[in-house]
Amino acid sequence: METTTENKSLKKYKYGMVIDLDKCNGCGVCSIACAVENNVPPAQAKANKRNGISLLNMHTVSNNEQFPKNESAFIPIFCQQCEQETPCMTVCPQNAVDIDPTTGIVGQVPQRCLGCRYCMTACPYHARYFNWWDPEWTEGMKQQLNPDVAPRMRGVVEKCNFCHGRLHAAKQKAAANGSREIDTADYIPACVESCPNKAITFGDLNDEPTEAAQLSKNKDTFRFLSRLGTEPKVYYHSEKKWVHEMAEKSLTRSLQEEIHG
Amino acid sequence: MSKIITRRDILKFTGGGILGVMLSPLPWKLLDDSAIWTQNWSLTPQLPRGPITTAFSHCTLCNGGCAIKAQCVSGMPYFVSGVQNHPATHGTICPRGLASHHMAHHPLRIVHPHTFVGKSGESRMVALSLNEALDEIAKQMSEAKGSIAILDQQPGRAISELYEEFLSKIKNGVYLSSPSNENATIVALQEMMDRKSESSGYDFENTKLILSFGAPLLDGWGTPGRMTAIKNRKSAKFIQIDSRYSRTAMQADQWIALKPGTERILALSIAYVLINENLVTKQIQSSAIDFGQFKNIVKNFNPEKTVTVTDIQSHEVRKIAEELVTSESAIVLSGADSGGGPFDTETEKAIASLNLLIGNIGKQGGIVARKEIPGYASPTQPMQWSNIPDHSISVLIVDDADSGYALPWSLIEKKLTTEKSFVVSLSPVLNEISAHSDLLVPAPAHFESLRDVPNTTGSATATFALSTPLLKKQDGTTEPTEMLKEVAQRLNISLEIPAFKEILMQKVRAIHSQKRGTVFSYTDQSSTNVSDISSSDDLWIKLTEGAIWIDGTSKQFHPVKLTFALSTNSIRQNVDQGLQLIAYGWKGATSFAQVSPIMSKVFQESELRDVNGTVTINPKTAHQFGLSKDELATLSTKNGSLEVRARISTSVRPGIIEASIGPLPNGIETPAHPAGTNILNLCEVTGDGTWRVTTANLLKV
Repeated sequence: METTTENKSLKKYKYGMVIDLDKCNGCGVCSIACAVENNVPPAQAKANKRNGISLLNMHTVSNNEQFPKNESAFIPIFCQQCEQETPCMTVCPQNAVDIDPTTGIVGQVPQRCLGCRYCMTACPYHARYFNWWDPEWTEGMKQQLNPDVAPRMRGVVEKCNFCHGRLHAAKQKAAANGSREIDTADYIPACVESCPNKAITFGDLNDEPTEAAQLSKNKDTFRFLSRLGTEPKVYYHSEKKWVHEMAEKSLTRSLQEEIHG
Repeated sequence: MSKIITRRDILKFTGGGILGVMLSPLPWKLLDDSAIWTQNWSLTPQLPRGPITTAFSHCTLCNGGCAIKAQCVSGMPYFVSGVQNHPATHGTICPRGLASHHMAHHPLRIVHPHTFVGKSGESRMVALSLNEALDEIAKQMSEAKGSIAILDQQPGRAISELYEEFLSKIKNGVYLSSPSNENATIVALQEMMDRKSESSGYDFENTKLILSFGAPLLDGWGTPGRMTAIKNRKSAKFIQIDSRYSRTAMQADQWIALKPGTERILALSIAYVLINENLVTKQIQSSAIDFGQFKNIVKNFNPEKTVTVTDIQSHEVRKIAEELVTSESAIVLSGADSGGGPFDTETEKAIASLNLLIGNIGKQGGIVARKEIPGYASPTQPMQWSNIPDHSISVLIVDDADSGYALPWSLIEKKLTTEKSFVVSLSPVLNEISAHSDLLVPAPAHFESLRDVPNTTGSATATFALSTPLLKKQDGTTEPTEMLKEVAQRLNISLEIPAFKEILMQKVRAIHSQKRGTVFSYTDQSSTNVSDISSSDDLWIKLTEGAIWIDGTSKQFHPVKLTFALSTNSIRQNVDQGLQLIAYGWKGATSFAQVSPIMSKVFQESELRDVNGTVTINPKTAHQFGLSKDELATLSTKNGSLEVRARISTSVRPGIIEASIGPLPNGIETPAHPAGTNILNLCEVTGDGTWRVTTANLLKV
């Protein structure tokens, strides 16, 4: 993407997350914090896990051993913030998906979105959601919406954007203080802030000393579907062998894929 | 020469026209604009505008009493989070607390007294005035032939004291609480030590081993942030004895998967090892007045024999016993699953007895006594459900506070008089209990009124905080104190009830006068000794702005009379063979309470928690009954049958049906059917309020 002269002079961030699956207990705080922060409406009666909107969706996986040798883990799946050949951006006919060159965050512009859902098809992580219904809150709950995040309308696609409302607020605060750089403490996505187990580490992956950058290079850290070469900026960490083996399945091409491409 | 326009020309013109329009920007522009127009639909709400402020309060949705920080726009909270560095919650709150600001705007909220008119099942709600409602309550109480009961699921609060006082002044007054008590082990121990009115807690912060019999310690139990912090610090080893692969079993350092319903037998087989391998000190043996009798009961529970009942190998039992005595400090506790129901009294006592045997009472890292909060009376235990005769309650008032644990209607119904009973619900939101009530007198909703937050579940020291209102109280709602005062007046009962704020100010004055403890303020994260706070008014201001009082003093535990008081020596598994149904839930999201509609993100729009009517079975069980994933089946017990959706997982013991009593999907609850206790209705609920295992059958639809 083309960058402006103004952008070139700014520090380039590469925001990313590392999720420690061994610490995640599937409590669901992150999912609720995400929905409340981003004005995601409650489900309609017919909504389910396929057509509902849960920008941070929790999946349960198992080692498939028989009781009582069974073990489970929870995997939060949301926009993996692909850095290279970003599939959703590549296919969008409306330029409704863009990457902020200064932060690396893949953004979504609902006003441009036509609802064609090419991006949903292209997303290897199924991390994009279509608004099948008009957003509905009770009258009182409408007064409790986050004033920094515009609700999306029926017929558009949405996804996690690392709580861009919080990024804007941090930028405004920095600007008010005469600074061009935000204080990292001012920009923490809602899921990261709310996680009781501190299982999610967020930060600038370009900034080597940060915990997020260090963890992303840890030997027990991996990314799902990294073989696709899209360089996602969301990493997962686990010391459990079976979790790695499960993740490995997404890292290697199947025989069928080798034959048919 | 005239040109004849042929059909081909018309088609060419039309085709060319369409192609031309398609190649022009017009259709794309229209499509683009349509996306923009939809933004102005009235169905897409306008955002609230106004000054952004921060307020602090405490969540009272359960006994956890978590501190919350609320970001507000124009004074209306829009994002709730934990208070950083809080000494009890360590900055965290549970998902239900995170969406707690929605509760006042729940779709099933009611703001005026209502009664039900029409036949059962077809009845409709009819509004009535507060005076009419109060007159009716007083009339029913004065005409009552049986007991008059108040069900208070958060005992120990200022309003609880008023309830008890009111009930003490009427004939046949019964003070009730939820049968599922997070402090069940402490209650059992207090009885065994004859210290029923002594306040005690768990010194989790200093213990090295926590042996839990089914308590959902890492899934919302007590103050969730406290337990999470202990787990994350890795200061204590968690051993979870659980018949289910619960969230706590999943996170514990060790999970011991016993057969459902055999907890008493396993506890006594651990006791067998402790006694027979001389791991119990002489002091304990001599101080318990019935140690000989207890030893006689326990001798039947040789781990070599109990393995066939519990499915726990004898070497595992011995290892647990050894760990209990070799650990620097240990706590053994029991607990109900939020939906699965409490243990019976004998099981509670058997588990609690392990604490006596390892001698952890009154010791650091064990079960400790705590001083009372100044201004509060010594706690009295609500009446045990098993002690209430069936069909004896004529009038029941159900307070609006929730324990977070399931309470089957069938248990309440069993205690109500058959001919003419009268149930009043104070819940501000329609729920399962209100659907069965005769009268609804809604209290203000969560965060709409001032409430006290005394000692949270299992806290080792006394604490006190205030839940200050964040929302404007809705007209038409009635404070429970007002209701009580008015009813007392109508019944000519002498009961002095000042304004609730004044009652709480009296408590604060009492705390200030004793100069005990410190106050941690949320606004500046500072701690101040109470002795350094110049006046009780200043202390009140601190507490209302967001603070917690923590007692800094400890108390010695003085058992009066030590007795194990066990009566059953049966080694028989107390459930029938065959397919067994176990209900389970999630604290605060069981049938009794409602949750914010946004909780659909974990219940309905993801596979994180199961909605009501989902059963999970082992693949072997599924094969046996010819069921595949997500297929419908009929679940039946002797109490009835229900259509359920089957999930299949190897995490379930073969032969067991795990059934969720979570909420119903959003949008399908109505005032007549506000919540789903259908699974609970299938469970076999005993007179003492347990429903842990029920024999059941599954049939493919």
